[in-house]
Parts: sequence; structure tokens; C-alpha cells
Amino acid sequence: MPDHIASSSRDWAEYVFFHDNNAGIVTEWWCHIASSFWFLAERNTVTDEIIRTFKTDELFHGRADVTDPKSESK
Amino acid sequence: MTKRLPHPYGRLIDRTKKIQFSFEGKIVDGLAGDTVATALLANNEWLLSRSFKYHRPRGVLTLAGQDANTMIQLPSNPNALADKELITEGLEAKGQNYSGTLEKDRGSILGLFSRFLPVGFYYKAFFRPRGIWEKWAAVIRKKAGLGVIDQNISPSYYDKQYKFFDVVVVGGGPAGMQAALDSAVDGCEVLLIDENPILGGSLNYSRFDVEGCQGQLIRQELISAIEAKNNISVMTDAVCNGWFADNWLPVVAGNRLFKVRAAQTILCTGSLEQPALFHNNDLPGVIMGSAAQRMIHLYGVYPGSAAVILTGNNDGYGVALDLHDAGIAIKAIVDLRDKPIYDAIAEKAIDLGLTVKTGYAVYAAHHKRTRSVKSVDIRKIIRPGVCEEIGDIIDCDVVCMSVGYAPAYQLACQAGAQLSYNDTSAIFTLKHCPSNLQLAGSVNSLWDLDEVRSEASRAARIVTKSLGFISETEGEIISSAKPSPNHPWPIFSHPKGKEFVDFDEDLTISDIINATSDGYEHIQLVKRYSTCGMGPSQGRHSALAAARIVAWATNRSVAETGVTTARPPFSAEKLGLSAGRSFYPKRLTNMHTRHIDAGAEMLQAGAWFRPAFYHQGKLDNQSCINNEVDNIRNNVGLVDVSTLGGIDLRGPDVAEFLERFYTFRFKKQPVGRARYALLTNEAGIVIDDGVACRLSEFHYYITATTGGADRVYQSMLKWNSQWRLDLDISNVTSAYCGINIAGPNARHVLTKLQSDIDFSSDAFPYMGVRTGVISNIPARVIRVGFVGEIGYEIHVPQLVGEALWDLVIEAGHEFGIQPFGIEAQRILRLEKGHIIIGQDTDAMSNPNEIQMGWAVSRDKPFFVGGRTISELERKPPLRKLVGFLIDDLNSPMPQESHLVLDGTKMTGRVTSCNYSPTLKKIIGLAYVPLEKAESGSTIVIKSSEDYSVEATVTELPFYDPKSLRQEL
Amino acid sequence: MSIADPTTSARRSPLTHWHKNNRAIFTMIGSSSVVESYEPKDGSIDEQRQAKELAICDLSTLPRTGFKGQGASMWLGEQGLHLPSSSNSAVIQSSGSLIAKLSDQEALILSDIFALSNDVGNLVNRSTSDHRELTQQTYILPRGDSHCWFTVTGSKASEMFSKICAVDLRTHKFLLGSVAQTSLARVSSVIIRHDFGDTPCFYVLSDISSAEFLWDCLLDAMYEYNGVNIGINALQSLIDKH
Repeated sequence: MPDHIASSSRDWAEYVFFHDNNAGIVTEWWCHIASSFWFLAERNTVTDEIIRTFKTDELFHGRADVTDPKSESK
Repeated sequence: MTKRLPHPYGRLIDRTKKIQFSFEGKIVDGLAGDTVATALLANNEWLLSRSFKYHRPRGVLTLAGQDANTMIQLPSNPNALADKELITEGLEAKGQNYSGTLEKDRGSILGLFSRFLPVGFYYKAFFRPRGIWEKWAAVIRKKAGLGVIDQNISPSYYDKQYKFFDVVVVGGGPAGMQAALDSAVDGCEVLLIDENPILGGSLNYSRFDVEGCQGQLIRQELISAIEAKNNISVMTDAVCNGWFADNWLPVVAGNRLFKVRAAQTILCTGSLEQPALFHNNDLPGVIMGSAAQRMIHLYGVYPGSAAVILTGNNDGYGVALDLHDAGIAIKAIVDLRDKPIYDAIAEKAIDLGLTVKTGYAVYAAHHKRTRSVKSVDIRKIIRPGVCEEIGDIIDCDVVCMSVGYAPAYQLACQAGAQLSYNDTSAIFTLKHCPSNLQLAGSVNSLWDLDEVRSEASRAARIVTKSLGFISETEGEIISSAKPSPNHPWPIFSHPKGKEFVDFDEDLTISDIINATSDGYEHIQLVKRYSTCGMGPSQGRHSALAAARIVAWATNRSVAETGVTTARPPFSAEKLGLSAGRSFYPKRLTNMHTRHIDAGAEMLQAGAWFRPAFYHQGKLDNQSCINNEVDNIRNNVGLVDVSTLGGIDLRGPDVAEFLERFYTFRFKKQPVGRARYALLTNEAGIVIDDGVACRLSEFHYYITATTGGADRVYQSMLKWNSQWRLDLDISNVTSAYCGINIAGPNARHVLTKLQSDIDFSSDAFPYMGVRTGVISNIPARVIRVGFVGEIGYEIHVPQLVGEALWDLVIEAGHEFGIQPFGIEAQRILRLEKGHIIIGQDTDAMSNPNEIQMGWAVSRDKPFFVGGRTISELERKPPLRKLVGFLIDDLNSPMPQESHLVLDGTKMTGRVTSCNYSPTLKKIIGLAYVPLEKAESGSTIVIKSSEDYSVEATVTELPFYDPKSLRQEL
Repeated sequence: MSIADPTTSARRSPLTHWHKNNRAIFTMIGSSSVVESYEPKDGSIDEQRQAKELAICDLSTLPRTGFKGQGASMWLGEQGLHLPSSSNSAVIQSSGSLIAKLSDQEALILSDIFALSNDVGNLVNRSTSDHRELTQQTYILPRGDSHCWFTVTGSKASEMFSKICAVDLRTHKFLLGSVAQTSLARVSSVIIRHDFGDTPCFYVLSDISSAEFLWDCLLDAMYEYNGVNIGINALQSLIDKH
């Protein structure tokens, strides 16, 4: 997420409405519906191979402060 | 009953059990184990179907269920394959796709017009004169299609089952049996699948040695070894119909779809014998060499009395020997090869003095006014594809083609393998299989029995090593010492055409060449333009020939031209297998039985079942609903609100979380108060709403919409895994039951119940929240005003919901309390102008459009959607949701989604509309353009094809404008 | 054998009406109304024998609870309970209760169904207070109401499950004490392997609003193997004979 206070209108609109569609290894959100457990996965979008799965705390480390927004991967 | 070959021929039939069935109205005698096709063949009946376009007579081609020439109609099963369908007593089978009878199909006249039906003609014809297509469509619709669906059929029970194995071997021929055996090391669970009734594959019908006994000996050896192992499961009459990610294999057997998960897969799917192309190669009686061998060995049926073998390899000589051993006259072995290198089996045929013509081709087959082959015209080959002007006629009643094989590559290609072809050696290879999938046998272009078994063992070692069961290496790849059995060019053009490339689509050599002349040179385009390979047999017998012809016509190699890929299902799959047994979970509240007992008409909202209204005597539905509305406005009623979501949020950061998640403010919300909670997404669109109840400083209980609760909960979890605030979020929707008791007498009813909660207006004001006990039942109580009367929403643990309902009904009995359903609730809330998310909002509704600007906080640092809403507010909204009134009760009532028009221009639409029994007017909500949003404006709503009605834009709420009644 | 009217207690299984329509005989276990057996329609169904082959029993009214949060494991340990070390496994306490660790931060506690130690009740009592929740980061979950509780017993149970569940529940793969959080007939469920004597047994805990739907699906899947519904007496017999 770009800076939700300071980013330009254009940058913000691109964040909300545009999505990258990369051919190659991407990191994506997955949810195990039966237990409502969210986790992350690295997947190769060309071969559909799952490289690895990991817990969200690997990317998100501590309490996020929204008055000082960090850039996070979507 | 015609004669059958004696035992040991006929491995699949039981000569002691006679079965009678009918085909095309005629009684046919067969034996148990016969298929429809073989029983007919045993009675010398070859005609099974009429081809798709030209209605040419067709019969058996492969006898392996791999071609569509055998498609017949059964009472409950259109498009059954006659060479797979077992006969049963009294079965009524018929042909398809004919006008008149199968024997005398008037449609066959189309064959005379083939000049006017060139490849791709339907892309060019039927355009002019304008409007001609409608007339043609009716004609074509009658002519097109094959089987007929029985509309009165009662569905059978289909279901699915999972299976889990370490190794799955697809195909139970020599390669598959060997692979299964060698994979079954201690502790390794193996599944062996074969689509035939018995294991063995080619061992059951092919000739592997001069004497013709080796096949059965090896088969017996392998089967005994397999039976001796208790970790090999065998499924016969089972087809692996596809390959999906991570070795997920759908295996179809009877009415059950097995979902098999294999850690490792070995594909031993074998290869498909290919036809030769010559004039009339589609006549009944022109069959694959392996088909003749199947007829003899599996069914004990005579293929004919006088045979011609057209061969391009040594296998054809094995076919000749098999027929000869069965007492059938071999009129000639026509060998496409000029200087063949013989093996022992071919030598034996020569030694027996069978007539052999090397360097010759079958140039044409003839039928002399019968439906099946009666003679062939054989000619010397000058150069590939070209013969001399004059040939010899040989009388025969069966022609066996043995010109090569294509691997059954379908599953391998679905798994990502790439099929390539070497023009010089005429050999296919499949490369780049995934690491958990191996190939063995003729699918991998090995045909020698010893080589096949060695390779199968090697594949087994690879997979068991991957699984950690063994540590030895697998050994060298087997490369074959034998020449390829694939003849590079068994294709002979004829001036009269009718040399079929694709039997399903009636495509001939010139059709394929013309496709390339029309500019479609890429094999994918040839396929789609000509429809080659798009029929029921999906290119099994046409892909190779088409690739060769396209390559020749475009001056490329077959390797460069390629073949199109294969997609699941491998064989035709009944919809019942995919559809059954489906699970559509139903969600019921604890009060469900009480609703049914009270006469509720239930309706489905997502997975939940809720009462729409309650039947009252003989009253019509609308009157029941209006009575329920009246009862709430003037008395007291109760509604089951258990389905609305409930989420418990607890922890030090709970208020901070809510402030970021919802649009409103919560940090200063007092304990014991409820607040409206509006939810937007990052695009600023309203996606859900609910009521946030502060039960304590660090405990909130939030409701959500019935349909949105689970999504809201998942969204909360996703955001907090990024924000990592200190709180617990739990979805307790199912844990609580809820009753909303509403109406002027609501409080009177509640105070009759034993409770430690003071329900009086002073102690428990509007939008208050209290926890306590009601008749020993722990309860959370919220005063809300969705319907605009005094209302208390009581949430109790799920298992005591029914008991609570009974208590309230009993306490309310003296007031005439009545339950009400969703329909009444919708009218009541509409009278108050309350929106329903998803009905009055759509994928573009932001808070300012729907008069919810008041619920959006302007002084929070952040909330989901906040930035976007600020951006949107820089311009005026494009539309507004407003209330409207229609005075004229005789006008047809607008429905949801009816358009608001300005002349003929669409300027908005209705989202809710109902007759209000309280106001005695028609009321509704609609999106209108900004200039019409003023109270008093007139809008025009188109409520039917011919009728438009005028409505007046009105201030909301329609009823009790100051909303005093709910705060009493 | 005591006969009880299930409606005298306010806590009712969502299957109460189904049980009544299928001639259930109820009994009280503690304060929970439970089916002890079903009157056979014709001939006799030997529920005890059935229990060893394939049978289902509804325990939805029996005590259970759950706890979540950073401090949940520690707090439960302080209450004298012994938790499994890894997630998705379950252990039996000396009192007979079962604790299933669903994740590092979540545990499910099921009472033993016969002796009825008061583990669940005690935990519920000790846990109720905000103060305690905040300082110990231990949050109680209303598992007694959010989920229904069935037992599926018998040698055919694993095979039956494979018709409605994608997890391999064969007894040599899904060992004693294993826990699966997955979907059964598309209903989110927790499945725990906990044998009765030497009879394989699976505890099934699923969203309670789909209890009737899931019960129907299970009976339908069991039909092929002649599975039936049984009461708690038949479950008892599986342990007695051991």
C-alpha cells in the first residue's frame, strides 16, 4: 500500500484499481476456508508450481501504525 | 446363432449364458460378455451408424471404445459406444443420425453433394440472401447431432469418493502390470487401473511370438504376481479421465467418480493404432489389425471369411497369422514397404506361403452396393502417396490395417509433457513430464515386450526411490533396438476423394489441403477451421494424418507442424458423474422447527433458510405479509435474526481496529451503547453493514449481514494479519441465536419474562446494549430500530434458541404476538427508508450516493476506503439513492431493477419497491440522477413493456419522519 | 435406563426433532439431554454390534469449550491441563477430557462423555472476566454452541468418510490423536481420532447451523455400508468390553 495520506491521486488510483499480472514467481494471499487461516504463498504463475507457503508474520512484523504508514506488498 | 470360434478364443464371453436384445427393432442373439458390437458382428451385422456429415454407413474400427463409428442410441443413454456397452436381456439399441432407417438412410444423398460442402463451408455459406440463416438453421438443427435425450428419465444416483495411493499406474497392459508389481515394495500402496473388464492390455490379443502363446503366459505370470501382493489395488472397468495438478486423477467407474490422489503416477496408457488413408477406407469391414485380433481373442468372433491385411510394419504379419490360425483365408498381405526387414513372426507368415505383395498399397476399397467391403484395389507404389494407374482387384470381406501407432498421449500432455515427432524415424516422444510422473510402454514408443517390461521396472524404481522406499538408482534409459512400426506415409489420394482423415467429421485429404490453401496453415487453425479432431474421438485417429498432410502441403516437417494438445476428459464423461453427489450445505437456526410448525414459507438466503412469511388459514400470501406488518406497527411480533452475522472482538486494541476497519468512529463509544457500523472496501464501495455493541471497554460484539458475515470475518483477519493489533477476532455467528421482538407492546412482553435486565426506556434507551439473564438464559440484548418500532434484539446461545422462542411466544400470548418473516421485515424497513446492502447498493455504491455520508468519519487518520472516498468527494456524485412514492394504487407496481427513464434514456433504476400497508401507498428506493434527487421531483419508471408510471421523489423515512416510535 | 423428555432442558441439540421422529429414547447425562438408544422399527438393530462396524451418535449437548490467544496454552497449563506439543493433535487428560490443539494459539476441550469430570465447567468459570482475558491474553470461545458434536465409529468409518472428505482418514494414516481441520460435505469441520476400546472412532465437530444437513449427508454416505444412528449406550459398550 502506498502512503495513504501523501501519495498522489494517480498513485492511489493505480493502487486501488490496477493489479500486476506477473509471469513468474509472485507472492499471494491464501485463506484456508475450513479454519479461516490466512497465509502467504510463493507461486510460479507460469508453471503453477507452489514454491513455498509461510505465515504472515514473516512479512508483517509488529503493530502497524497508520499515522506513519509503511509500504506493504499487496 | 452364427458360429463362434471355439475355446480358448473368446476370453470375455460366457458361452453358457445366452442373451437376447434388439438392434434397430430386430432381435439379436448374443452371449454374456458380448458388447452390442460384438454380438452384432457374431451375427455378421457390420452396420452400426451413419457418419455425421455424409451419412455414410459405418461400423467397427478399433473395437476398443476409441472411435465414434460405434455410436448407438440406448433408451436412457444417447451416444453409447457399441464396442463398450455390454448387452443385457431385452436391451433396445438403435442407430442414430438417419432419416428413414439405419439401413436405408435418405441422408446419404448428402454424399453426392460433397463438392458443395467443402471444408469450412459453414463459415462461408448461409449469409446471403439476408435472413436465409433462420431457414437453414431449422434444417441443420434437424440434421445435426447424434443421440436423442430421454426427457422423462429419472436420475440415477451418482457419487464420488476419494482414494489415496503412493503410486498410481494408469493402464493394465504389460507395462502397467510390470510397473505396478515393481512399485509394490513393502509399505508402498499401489493402484493399478485399466479401462477393460480384465487386466492384460495387448497381452490379451496381440501376437508376441511365432507360436502365439507368449502373450497369455506372460499375462498369467504377471497377474498371479499382482494377486499375491496385498498392497496392489486393482480397478478394472475404470477409466482415468484426466490429469490435474499434483497427480489428482479422476477415475470413472460405473456411477462413481473416484478422486484419486497419487504421490507418484506411472502412465502406461499404451498407443492407438492408426488408420491408412485410401478411397473408402471408412467402409464397414475396414478395421484396425488389432480390432480383428480383439474380435478373435476376446469375443471368439470371426472377422470375416476372406481377409486382406494392409501393413506397413511386421505387426501386420502377426495379425495375418492370428487370422490364419482361426481358419480365415488370407487373400493377401499388402506391405507398403518395398524391402521389409522381417522378424520371426513375419518369417513364419512367409513360410506358410501366404500371399505377400511388397511395395504395394490398398488404393481403394469397394462395396458393390452392399454396406460393407467386398473387394479392394491394390496397386504398386511408385513413390510415397502415389500408385500406378492399374491395379489388381481382390475379393475380401474384411480389410485389416496395420500401419502404425500414435501414443495415447492425452494424460501425459495434460500433465505438461510435450509431444514431438521425428520425421526420419517416425517415432513420437513425450518430454518434460513433471517430476512425479513417469511413462512406460508403447506410450513412450517402446514395443518390444522385454524392453517394455524393463522400462516399466525402471519407472517403478524411479518412483519408489522418490518416495523414499528404496535407495538404488534406476539404471539406464531403455532405448529400443527395434525399428519403429510407424509407416511414414500410408496416405493415398484418389480422384474420387473419400479417403477419410477424420471419420467423426467426414473430412478427407482434400479438405485438409484446402484448409491450408484457404490460408490456415497453423495446425491449431486447421483444426478449428476444418473441425478435424473436434469430434467424439478427439483426434485419436486423425491428428497424425492431419499433421502429415498439413506438413506436406506447407513444406514443413511433421515435427515443425505439431499436433494439437489434449484436454480432459479423456473419454466421454456423463454429467451425472460431475454433478453427483453434490453438497449444498443448508444452514438452519435453532428455531427452524418452530417456523415450520407455525406455517412458515421458507426461503433461502445464501445457505440459510429463513421464513419469508407465515401462512394464515386460507389467506393469500400478500395478505399474510400485510397482516404481519400491521401487527408490528400496532401490536408486537417477533422475527428470527439468528442468521445475521456475529463477531466477537476482544482485546486492548479493539477500538483501534474498528476505527481502521469501518467508516465510523468507535474509540469514544460508551460501554453499553450500540453504533451503526458501515463497511467499505478499498475502492470506497459499501460492502456490508451492522451494529457495533460495546459490551465492555475491550469487548465489542458486531453484527453483519446474513450473506456477508463470513466474508467480513475473513476480511478482518486478513487486515489484522497486516496491522497486527492486539485483539482476538472470533466468528460467533453460529454460536448465537437471535430474536428481534418489535412493536408498541414489545416491552410489555419482555417485562413478563424473569430477567435481571431493566427493559424500561430510562434504564435501557434506544441503541443501548445490555447483558444479563432471561429465564436463566444468558443473553445480550440490543435496542435497535431497523423496523422503526420499539424493538429489542435478544442474542442467546444457539442451543437454547428454541427454548427462548417458546418463552417469548408464551409471554406474548395475551397480546396476540405473531412471528413475522423477511417479507414483512423488508416492508417495515422500507417504510423507514433503511437500505439493504446488496439490494439497494451495487458494486459502485459509495456512501455519499446512498445518503450515508453521516456514517463516514472525517477526522480519523485511516480507515479502509477512506482515501478513495476523499477522492470521490472531490466531484459531485453521479447519482443518488432516493425514496419515491406512487399514489395511484392501480398502476402496475415497479420491481427491483426497473428503469428510471428520461424519455428513452436510462437515467437510473429501482432497487426496492413495495406496497406499504401502513401508508397505503406504493413506496420504493431508486437511483436517480442528481438533478432529480430533490424532494418533489417527478421521475418516470418503466414497469413493463408498455407501461410507465410516474413517481414522486420523497424525503426518507416515509413513516414516522422523526423516528420517534423506536425511541419510546 | 431413565427416560427423559429432551425439551425439559433448555439446551437442545439441533437434531432433537430428528431424534424424536426416529424413536429416540433420551437420558440425562449431567445436565445434558442425550439419546441413549433408538427403538428399533422392525426386528432389532443391534446398536452395539453396529457401533463396531459403522455408526453415528449425536453428542451436541455435552460440555465443551475452547480458548484462543497468545496466552491460551500457558493459561490452560496453569489450570492443570496437559497440552499436546504440536498443532493438529489431541491428548486425553487423566480426567478423561480431551484437549485438541488446533493451532499455537487455539485449543478445544471436550469433556469425556461418560464420567463427566467437570473440566469444561471449571475452565468456563475460571475464565470469565475481562481483566483475566486482557492480562492473560486468553479468550474463551463458545464451542458448546458454535459447533455440533458427532461420533462416527467403526471399521468402515474411514471408507465412508472418503466419500465426503478430501483428507486421508484411513486408520493407518490418521493415527490416534490426529486432528484435521477441513471440509466435510463442504461444511467446515474439525475431525479428531479418538478410539473407543479397539474400535476406530472419529469425533466430528462442525458448524452447528449445518448440523442437520451434515447428519443427513453422513447417514447417506453410511447407507452403502449399512451404517446407522446409535445412542450413547452403544458407545459405552465399546469401552466396557475392552
